[in-house]
Amino acid sequence: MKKVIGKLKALRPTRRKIIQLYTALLFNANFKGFYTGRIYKGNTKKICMPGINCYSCPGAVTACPLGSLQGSFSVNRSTLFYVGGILLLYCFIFGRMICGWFCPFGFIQELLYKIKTPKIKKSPITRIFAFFKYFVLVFFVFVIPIMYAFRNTPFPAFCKYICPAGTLEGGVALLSHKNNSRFFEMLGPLFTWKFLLLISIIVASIFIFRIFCRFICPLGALYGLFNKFSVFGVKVDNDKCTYCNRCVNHCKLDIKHVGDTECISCGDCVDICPTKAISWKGTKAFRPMPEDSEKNKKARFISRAVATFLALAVLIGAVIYFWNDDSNATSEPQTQTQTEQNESTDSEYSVNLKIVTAAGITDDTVNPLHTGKITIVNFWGTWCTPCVKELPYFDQIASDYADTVSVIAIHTNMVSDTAPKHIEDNYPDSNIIFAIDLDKEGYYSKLGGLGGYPYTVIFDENGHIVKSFVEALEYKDLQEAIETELSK
Amino acid sequence: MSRRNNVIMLVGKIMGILLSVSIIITGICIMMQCVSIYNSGAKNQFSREKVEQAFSDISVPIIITVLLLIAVTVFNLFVSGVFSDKQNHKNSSYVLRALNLKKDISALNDPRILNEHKIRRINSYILAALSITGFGIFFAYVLNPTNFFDSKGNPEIIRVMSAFCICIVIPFSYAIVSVFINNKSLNREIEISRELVKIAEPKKAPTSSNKLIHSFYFKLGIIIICAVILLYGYFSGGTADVLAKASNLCTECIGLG
Repeated sequence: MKKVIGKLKALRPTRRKIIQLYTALLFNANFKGFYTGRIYKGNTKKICMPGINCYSCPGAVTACPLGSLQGSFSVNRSTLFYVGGILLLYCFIFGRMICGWFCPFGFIQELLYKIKTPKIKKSPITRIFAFFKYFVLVFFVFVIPIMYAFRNTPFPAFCKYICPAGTLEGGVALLSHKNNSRFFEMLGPLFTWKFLLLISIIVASIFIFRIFCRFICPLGALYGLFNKFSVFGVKVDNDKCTYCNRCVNHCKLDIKHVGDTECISCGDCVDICPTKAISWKGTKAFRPMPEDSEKNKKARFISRAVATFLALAVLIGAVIYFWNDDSNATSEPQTQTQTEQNESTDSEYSVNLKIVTAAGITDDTVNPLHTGKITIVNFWGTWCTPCVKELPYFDQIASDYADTVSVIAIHTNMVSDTAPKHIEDNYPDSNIIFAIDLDKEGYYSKLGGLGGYPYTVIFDENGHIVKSFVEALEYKDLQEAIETELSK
Repeated sequence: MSRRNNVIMLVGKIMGILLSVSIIITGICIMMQCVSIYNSGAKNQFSREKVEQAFSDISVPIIITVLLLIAVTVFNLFVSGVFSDKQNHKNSSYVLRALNLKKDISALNDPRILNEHKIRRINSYILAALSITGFGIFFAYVLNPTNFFDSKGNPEIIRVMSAFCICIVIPFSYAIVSVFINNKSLNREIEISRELVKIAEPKKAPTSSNKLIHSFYFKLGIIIICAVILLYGYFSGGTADVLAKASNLCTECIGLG
């Protein structure tokens, strides 16, 4: 029994594990999102968090730095400066310490590695695999998004094809909620690929320590390049070092020496160094207090108690704040079925939307129910890759069926200044009526929008909803829907 | 160690291996179910009902894995050190590197050591050649659109994955062999190095190469520059797009489709 109690005591989480759990909870403090199945839309999402945590996770209250960076190439210079500035600050202040202390996805992998199975440990071969993450960084985060940026199309290649955090926290978390059943309609080859990748990484994480961080993560690759210059992290006193290499042998990562590009500054090596040559840089907070006197013990107890109290107060405060935040009020799940939508009165869907032209938002309005034709209402955004890609098909439909069909493209109202530029560059003489909903997505929710973009609704000539799509459409999809309606 | 302890350790190891196999089988089952739903042919193949049915079909391996997981966790409360997290690099180049750092490296330019380097280098070249050939064949296969897409224009994931597995089977097999060859070579090199290091002169500890980059003012300057870039972006409206992207669901970006 004593042995078991001793073992249980040894299972006490370390300071690093507590901080990892704390940051994971703090950055996902929108617990209401898990309850409603909708993502948070408040102003805290302007801030990029340091680690990988998908902003499409229902609990996320901050933005993902990688997703924001890939998106920023195709919008405007100020966004690139903003995201780049945040990332550089993180790089120079923390370096790859972020991976070891603040990254929720790294924390998940470490927990999986705790399962007691035979492990595949580091070797010269894993060291070679570690270079793969630089390839991912260069091609998937920079080269491909920048190439698409020249075509005015946002293309987050890493998020789309690789990011397992997005699949787990965004995709699976949203799909598992009953209110998001319609998202199953859009699953196909992309989801199959990403789900297979996610399961592979989860299974492999049980046998290989932090497999994603070591071999794939481009954010870790970027932070690692700045490890040498960062304010915080671990350092080696060369005068004290005897080159026994115990630190490198103890470390589970593919480091050549402490503090290099692979080092996540977890601090496990600090305690095992026989000559105490490894220490924390930039702060005295991590240094252990001497335990020789009662006074020191008391001071340590008080400082820990105060830190714990403040941390818990911040976390509880954040959870309460995000639960009651008005930004969640517009995100109530839409539970209307297609039949119920059809039975709704015209006035419910009747709304006057401001028309947007290349010159900006005008005073003219358009009402989707009063066009006298079949009306296609498409919700889009310049930040949304599939929206931008499908818009030419709507343009084509608006030209080919000009007499019978009216196409209204409603831009998400938050970045209205980018919409006129996009219209000017790509659709100067289009038949599409570009509009904006100034009611903070009120019309989008009213028409059954679940938070996902692109979203398309087709009204018949009498103003009844005949079909809605939660996916990117092609010309033939639209043509098929219109021909069906015209044949009635 | 007593015979009883040996038996306990053996039981622990068998349980751990069973758990590993069970986890891998469960993972493969989940992946196969996902692929089978995808390959079912209908336009909207996925639905909540189908996914729930798929999970209920593989409930046996899932339940076995969970039970084994609980058993192994409880067992490890009583027995320690069955699967240690400690790294063992007796046979790795990390030890060699340490020896090189500690003593004068020129003492290690022995023909026997150079010969071992040559063996490992040739081994790497063979592996690289096989890998490049394998990947080359795979990319040549994928670049032909008729191999990659079916008649409806959908990517043939299973066919492409099978082609990938076939193309990498030879390099992957050789990679496993090369690990053994490399380890043997490293062992021999370590033995020779240990003998040589004993007689080599101590090496002077390297000093910090660049004091400027470690100086407080340099770091402060860099941080101020980053903060200025960030503030410029913030005040010129850079947050709007970040907020728009983060507070709306781009379904394609998170892999939904």
